[in-house]
Amino acid sequence: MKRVLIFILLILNILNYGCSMPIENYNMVLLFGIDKDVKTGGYEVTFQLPKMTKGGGEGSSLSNETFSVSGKGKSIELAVKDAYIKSSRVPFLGHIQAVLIGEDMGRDGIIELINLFERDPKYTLTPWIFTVDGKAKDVLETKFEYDTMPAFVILHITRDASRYSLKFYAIQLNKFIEKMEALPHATLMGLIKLNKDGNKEMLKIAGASTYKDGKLVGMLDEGEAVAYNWLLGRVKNTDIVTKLPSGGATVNVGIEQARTSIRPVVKDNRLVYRISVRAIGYVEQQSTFIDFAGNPSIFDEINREVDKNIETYITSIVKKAQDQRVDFLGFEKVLEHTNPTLWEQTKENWDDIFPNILVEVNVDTSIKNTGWILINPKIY
Amino acid sequence: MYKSEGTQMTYLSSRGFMWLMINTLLSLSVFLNPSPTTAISKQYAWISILIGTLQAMIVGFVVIKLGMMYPDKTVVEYSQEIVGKFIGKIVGMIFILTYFSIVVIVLREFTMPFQSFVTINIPLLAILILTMILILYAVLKGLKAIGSCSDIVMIFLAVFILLIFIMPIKNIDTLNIKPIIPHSIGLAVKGSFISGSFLAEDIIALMLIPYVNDKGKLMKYNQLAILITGICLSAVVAIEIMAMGYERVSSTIFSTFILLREAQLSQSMERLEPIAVAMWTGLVFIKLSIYFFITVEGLRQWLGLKDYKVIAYVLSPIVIFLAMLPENISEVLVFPSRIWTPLIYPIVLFGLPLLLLIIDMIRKKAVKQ
Repeated sequence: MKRVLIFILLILNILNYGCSMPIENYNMVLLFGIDKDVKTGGYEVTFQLPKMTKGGGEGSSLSNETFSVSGKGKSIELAVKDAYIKSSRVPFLGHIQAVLIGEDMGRDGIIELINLFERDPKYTLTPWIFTVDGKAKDVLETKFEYDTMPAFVILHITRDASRYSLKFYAIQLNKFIEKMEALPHATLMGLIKLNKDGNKEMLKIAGASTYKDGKLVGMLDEGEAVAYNWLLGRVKNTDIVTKLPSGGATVNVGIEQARTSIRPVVKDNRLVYRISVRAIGYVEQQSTFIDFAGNPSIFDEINREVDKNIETYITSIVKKAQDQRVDFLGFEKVLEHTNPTLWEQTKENWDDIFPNILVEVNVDTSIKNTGWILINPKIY
Repeated sequence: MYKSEGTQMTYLSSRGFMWLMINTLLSLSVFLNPSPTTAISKQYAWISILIGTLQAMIVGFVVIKLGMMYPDKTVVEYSQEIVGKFIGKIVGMIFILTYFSIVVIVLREFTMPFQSFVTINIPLLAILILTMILILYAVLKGLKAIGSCSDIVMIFLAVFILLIFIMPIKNIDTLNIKPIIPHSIGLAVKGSFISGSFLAEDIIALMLIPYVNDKGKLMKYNQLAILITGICLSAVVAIEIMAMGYERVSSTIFSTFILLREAQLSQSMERLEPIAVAMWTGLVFIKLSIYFFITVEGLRQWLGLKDYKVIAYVLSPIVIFLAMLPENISEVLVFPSRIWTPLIYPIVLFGLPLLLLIIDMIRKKAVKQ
């Protein structure tokens, strides 16, 4: 009896072993694009997949080339299945690196797309997500001259280059969902577009797109993206260029550390948001001779000028949001989690309260060093 | 293997009992508790669970106090001594049915993540049968075998909990869990009954006490087991709220699974949820085995039989049949939300042991006088 049982269990184990299909039958979808299908009112999905080439040994290997397939359908999933039957292998959706949303699709609403990715386990929840300034399909079908696949270019920019530049905002799908589900249901998404550099087509990730209640409601340019990143304290390593009033020198200050705190308070019966920024930087580059050793007060002057710059950024982005009457800054969430009693009183009328919020910005920059040069050589 | 009349066979040390208890209490609640608790208590769900832990510790105190009045007997046996043979039989059957209901519902709930995320194409019946064969095998081998398995599986539990704590670290936003002190204590208390009801499953001790050898330390280890489980559960929920926001946690069925699914510690350390589910399988296997064991052992004592093996063979297909009954996922989740927490928790898990304890104390006092 025991032997028979062991035999049955072994057979069951062998039957269950491995994937239901050999791995060679799959191809990974690296980029997932989605547009509105204007003709039918449905959806058009485009996959970008790597071209598999025969390697030296057994099986196939990845080249840097990609190809794309599209499918149309009344629902997103139907469009995906339509693309399945046009693919050379079964598209595998568990490793999508980025989702690109066409502008039309964004304006129409992306709730269905988010719903599908959240419900169906065959999709990954961590791709980077971008609005395309134009059609997603156009980006996915363009041949670029990069030394790697476009998906990895996007990954490089969002994951690595974001450490050095604040000119764009990038977010992964899971974090976007988190922000979209929290009040006030408004947040930012990355923005991507095609950019011509001479004859060459390039990808340009810059600025951001704003979403409210799952619909694209606006776009931010590069400067506004910088301001938003300052407000949210998403600063790892950046530069601020400022002109000193005393000597007219242009100084490039490298910021290597910055923290922002946002605290809502009630002052004279009005809701006031106190935004404090603490930044630490160093002098990275300057245009004229500045004697840091002989005139230490120059540090204070640079600090003040950088403070002014950051303050301008922050007030400008708050004004932009208030003018649009869309709280993509997440001020309501801050109030909910720092002063829930007050939030209970304001949550019903938040859309009317938000544009009238006062903002007090307090920036404290501290230049800690001057790189490897203290006294400039007298060649300037 | 069965408990023979008069001579008590002991298989568990009190420390082993504690591990078994932690395993049993934590394995399913770590998946099923965060979502409903967060839906009620929002960002204070982690505090709710600590309040629920206090409730469960009161239940634990009553359970051990009652059990230690008759250290060599199970609740099925001594309930007949406390409230008379007929009512005692009814009380015993209520407990047996409670244990049995857990076997059925946990077996079905156990298949849900498998069907959703791991083995989508395998029919429900196949998973149920294979799991039940494994449980039956463990139960036939007896409590000692289950205890030994539990000691091994504890390593899985530790790794599983560590994975939950470490993997999502990059997704954490502390604003999500603020304020730390709730602005409305009612909000935190309202959600506490769910975790309280899960942790009050400690009533399995009513059946296990006779099998523990050093009973002097039982109270300490039992309360410690509830406390450790409560703190772990609270920490898991706190991590989930910080990493996903309470809105997402409350809208997701298996938020702990999703937490691991989207956690990216580094570029190579991601999508580790299959490992977590594999470990979780071990944990639930222990929970199911221990519950099935006390069900069949309780039924053996209730029927006055000598061997529980026949009962185990008969009950196994019934468990599979009943586990097949819920048509869809919402019917599966009806049991914990509509029956377990509002009915079984106050009446069977808390009320009945307390009533038995009070009656027993009055009875003994009367006999003395």
